[in-house]
Amino acid sequence: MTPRYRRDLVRSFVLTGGRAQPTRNTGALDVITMVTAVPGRPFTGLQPEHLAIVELCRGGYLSVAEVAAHLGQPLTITRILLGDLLASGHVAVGANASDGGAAGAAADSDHIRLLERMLRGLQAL
Amino acid sequence: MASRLSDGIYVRDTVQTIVKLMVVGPFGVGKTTLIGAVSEIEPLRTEELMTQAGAVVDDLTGIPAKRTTTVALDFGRLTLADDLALYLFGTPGQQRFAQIWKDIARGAFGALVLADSRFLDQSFEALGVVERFNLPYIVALNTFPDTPDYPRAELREALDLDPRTPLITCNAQDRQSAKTALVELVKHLYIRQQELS
Repeated sequence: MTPRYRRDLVRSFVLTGGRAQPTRNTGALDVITMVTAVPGRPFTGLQPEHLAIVELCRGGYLSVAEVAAHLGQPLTITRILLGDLLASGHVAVGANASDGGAAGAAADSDHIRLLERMLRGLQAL
Repeated sequence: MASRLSDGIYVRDTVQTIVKLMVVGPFGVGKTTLIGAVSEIEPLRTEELMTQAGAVVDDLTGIPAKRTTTVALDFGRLTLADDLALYLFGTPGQQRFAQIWKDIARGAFGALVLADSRFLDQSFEALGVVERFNLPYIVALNTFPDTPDYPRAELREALDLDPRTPLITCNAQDRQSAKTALVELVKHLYIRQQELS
């Protein structure tokens, strides 16, 4: 996790129109939110980076972080590109992250049940 | 790029619930090793851009202009049941990356803080960040071949741990040991949650 400079990110910034923050549709995109490609959408007007995401996501579900890692794009850029693709209907969101920070809320019993399931799953590995 | 990827990379399409845990500790303490020991996929590396916080770092290095730097994060995945997937995110938990931490750790259930008993002070910052974000945690001492056997009470005191916070040892290279560390973490989260309810 050593900070370093990357000149190749210039292209990513140009691509995202200089947007350093997602502007739409990406508020719900946690790093572990599942995304997948929507079949049958035309590719016209898609930048190569958009296309790469669609191609990658055609095979099934991946988390936002996995999309970023496989494409070698930073998370921020990946979220912006995914936001574009959600807006254009090329990508759909699947399961979202369960919020571990929701402890103490009304869903306490759900929270405990989920922890129980995590525990059982880990013990069975 | 995508054409090289086999089908093995995808998440099972029966997965409905996705959870994450953080693995936090200083450079070289064994975060990625531990994640790799239990992950069903090769640990992946992703990067996040750092601008504001990076500006401070840049000032220290004498570079006048604010530049964008990137911070790498390693993560892995474990499918715990047909419908349940767990992601493990490794981060150093440094104060200067707090903004990135906040984004990645949002919604995490808890943290496994990794420490090296020979260099305990290197884990103080990670502990501070985890506490600052109110993330429940346990501490796992990664054992290295020349790790001395310090009395547990001394280690607890040195780390200033709450009496209820578990302190365990593990071997991050060993799948069984890494798994046990995660089991201990989730047990702690479970007990804590029961007490809160």
